[in-house]
Amino acid sequence: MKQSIKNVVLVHGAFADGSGWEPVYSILKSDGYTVSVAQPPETSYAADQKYTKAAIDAMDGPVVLVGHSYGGSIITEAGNHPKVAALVYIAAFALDTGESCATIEQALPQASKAFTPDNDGNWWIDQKHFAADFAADIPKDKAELWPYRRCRSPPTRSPTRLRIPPGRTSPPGTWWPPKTGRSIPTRSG
Amino acid sequence: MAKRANARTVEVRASHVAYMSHPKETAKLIEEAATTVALTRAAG
Repeated sequence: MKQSIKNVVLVHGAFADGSGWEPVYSILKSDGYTVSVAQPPETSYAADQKYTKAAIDAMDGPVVLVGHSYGGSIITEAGNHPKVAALVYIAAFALDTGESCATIEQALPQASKAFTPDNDGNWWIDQKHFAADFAADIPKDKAELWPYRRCRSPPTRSPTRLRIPPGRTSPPGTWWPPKTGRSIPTRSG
Repeated sequence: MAKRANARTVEVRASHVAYMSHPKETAKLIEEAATTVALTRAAG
């Protein structure tokens, strides 16, 4: 008998919220999936884990866990949850134990000039570069609104390093690197 | 990263927010993951 995974949890990246998943949510829903859009608050990496794990807990069976961008670093660790059967990275960081988004971005050339830090450890979007580097193929008015809707993101470049138990068997990964995005280093996503 | 994770990869010509500009392709990839893992588990 064919078994099927029918639960999906979607995790957004930095400088974003769950609303961007609406088109994907609608398709999955109409195809019969139970979909949860996690809302990691991006106030700390620990908080992001907490909110994502809560969304997984609420599912009644195996889950496909999906992350975009910084959300990739969230799902790798949240993927330790026993309900997670597969990980899907959409232009996302797929980190290993001990790595962080910061270690990757320090090791590779910067992909975008749109993000700059302030003295409190927050990161801000530069209007001049944002639409071209981050969202060049969505309607212009939506891309221009974005920096106003959410304009800082404390943990995305934080040095928080992933914790994956030694010997953990990773769920199968699926990877989607767009060819033209300029928001995270090319070789990472 | 994809190679070391032994991940199946799909490339599309898109911006960084590919899930917003290409929702059909994104949903298809997620559903393929769900189906592949389900089949693997059923076989195993």
